[in-house]
Amino acid sequence: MKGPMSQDEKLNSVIAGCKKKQPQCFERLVDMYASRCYGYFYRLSGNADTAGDLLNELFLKVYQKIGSYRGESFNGWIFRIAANLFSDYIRQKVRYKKLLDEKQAQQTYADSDPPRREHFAADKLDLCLSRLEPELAELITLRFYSQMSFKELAKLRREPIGTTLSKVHRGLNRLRELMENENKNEKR
Amino acid sequence: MKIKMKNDNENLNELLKSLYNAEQAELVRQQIQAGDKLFAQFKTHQPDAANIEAVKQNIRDKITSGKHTALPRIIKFIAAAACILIAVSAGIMWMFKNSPQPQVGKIISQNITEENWFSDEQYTQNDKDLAVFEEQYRQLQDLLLAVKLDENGDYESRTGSVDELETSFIEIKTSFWEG
Repeated sequence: MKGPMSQDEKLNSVIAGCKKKQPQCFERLVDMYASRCYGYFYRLSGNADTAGDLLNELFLKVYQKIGSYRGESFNGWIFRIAANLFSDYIRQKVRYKKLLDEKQAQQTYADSDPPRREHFAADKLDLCLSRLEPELAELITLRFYSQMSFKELAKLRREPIGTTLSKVHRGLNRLRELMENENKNEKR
Repeated sequence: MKIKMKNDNENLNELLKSLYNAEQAELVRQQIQAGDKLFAQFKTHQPDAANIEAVKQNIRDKITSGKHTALPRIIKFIAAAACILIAVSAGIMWMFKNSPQPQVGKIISQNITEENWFSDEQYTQNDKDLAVFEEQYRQLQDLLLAVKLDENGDYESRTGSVDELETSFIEIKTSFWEG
């Protein structure tokens, strides 16, 4: 008699079903990964709507690309797509902001309204992450939500493992400092 | 959802020891763990049920539309391939119809440059026989010329030489074409 399936076996069976375009397998995959991927998008964008949209795009990409998955770490595979999607989103946002700035510069009158905050901090961690260098914030968030090893992260970022480790170390230290400063400010 | 840091594929201690000395490695390990705890302290944001359902519905739609569009796509592909095949065949036939009939001898002679045609240097080991035949042919030509000029004198010896010459010619011709 067969024993209960391990997590890896379950995941492999779900992926095999997804490759055959079975809807119930995609639904299971969404259940397995939606929270972590949403958390990753939410922490970096600071916006629930953006995180929701990116999550939707992510799973559509997964649907399109699942045929090219060759059995490497699935965490690494899905979060690589997520990281690329987030980079595209940032690039698009920068382009849009540039266009907006150019249009605003052409206006003859000064806009008296203060600029709207793009990042809505849901908690202290969000606030401190938004003050961190974007590259470090993205890297430590990716590491936490994807649960990837340093080796996998280094491979994804195409840099030596020592560089990745040093960046994660620096990012987490800086985040800790920011959190401590925030705590001190709260006490005052 | 509580996320456990479970990076199965690595041994952080070993990795740190390969990059730092023992003391530094321990310090970096503690700092990384403290940083990880910060993340873990804060609640991870969850997508709402409607959001998840929308994602699933989108995939279901994609799968359904994919099934519906597969057959017309295959038909279109086959039709396009057939059109290309017909066009190529028609093109080839048109080319053959309109091109002048090739003259084999002309084509062969065009392919051999003048230097190659007369150059003895071009003979390879396998062409030695041909050189022998050519030499014999030259000698016979000389002999024929001598006969014609009546260098040998009397009629009998002249006709004998001609017969001999003709036989030799036939022999060479046969050997030549037999290779």
